[in-house]
Amino acid sequence: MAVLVDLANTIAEFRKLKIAADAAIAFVQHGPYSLEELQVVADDNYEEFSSYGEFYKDLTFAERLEKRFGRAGDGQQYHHIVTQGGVNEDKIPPELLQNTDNVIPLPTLLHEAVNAEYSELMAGTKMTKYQWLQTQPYDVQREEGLKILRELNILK
Amino acid sequence: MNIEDSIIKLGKRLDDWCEQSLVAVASRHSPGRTEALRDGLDIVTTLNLLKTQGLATVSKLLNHLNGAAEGERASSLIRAFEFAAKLAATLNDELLDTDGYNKVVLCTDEVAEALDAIGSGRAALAVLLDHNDARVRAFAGAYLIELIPERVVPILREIEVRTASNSAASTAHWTLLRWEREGKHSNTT
Repeated sequence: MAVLVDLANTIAEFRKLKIAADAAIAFVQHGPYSLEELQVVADDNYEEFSSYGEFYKDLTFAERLEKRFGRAGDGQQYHHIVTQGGVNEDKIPPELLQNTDNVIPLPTLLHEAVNAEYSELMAGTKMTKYQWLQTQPYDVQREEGLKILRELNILK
Repeated sequence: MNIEDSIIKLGKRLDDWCEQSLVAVASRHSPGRTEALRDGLDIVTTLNLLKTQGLATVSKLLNHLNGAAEGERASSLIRAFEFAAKLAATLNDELLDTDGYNKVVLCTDEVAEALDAIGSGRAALAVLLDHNDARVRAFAGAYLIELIPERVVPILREIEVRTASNSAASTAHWTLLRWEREGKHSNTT
């Protein structure tokens, strides 16, 4: 029985991998993109959200974003250009993180590549890029966040 | 074949595998699925073996001549740093292996700390600023920028601008950014 469960899980993982790979291939074929092309709404429809909103206070931002704009899509995830969590959670007002300018959908596989970039240690510091960037002001975090997307050929 | 070449070859194999076998692995009915899975498993096993060998080599050099004359010990540590810098960069550039890269970077930290305990300290790494491999120069620069910025900054700037997008350019960029943002340049310029 356990073997059957393992097999079912493995097949499910492969199916997810196939969906993620298809999404990444389709995305890359049409890239790189401008930031505006990746945002869920046009600039003049900018929206921001408070993490403490009365109606959705029990939901994560990703869930609220899905309620408002729909799911990121099969094999896709939402990415925060200026990262959420860590020190930023207390340092940066939620409205600056949870808005349509800062959050973009990316294929899961590419999102993992972006996350891997942030997880790299900075030689000589004992800190990851994610940790060190969060010691910097919002503008620097955003500029470097966009640079990472450009280097991965996601953004123009 | 040395470890660096083996990793480059493995990276090529991984690219080919992704291109040719990913669909077969993900498809329930593909006749080539078993073979594709076997190849994928072999790539992962080979990568783990190469990483283990690479880290063992760094560790051996790190502990080599422990207790010997300072000059000999420093030479061994500099060789460890040079090897680790190349290994980290190759893992990152060829395989996007962040986990492996981070493990090797922790080794370069250990080498720098071991050098700090003897002779002229990590300043001994300055010899690597003239290395013909930009990846080694960039790594050495990251550990020396606070000690000899007047020498390191121009080297890193050149790597950042002239080197194609790879781990050498990335190391140079992030080291310079950190140095500038933390205001350390104001004391030397």
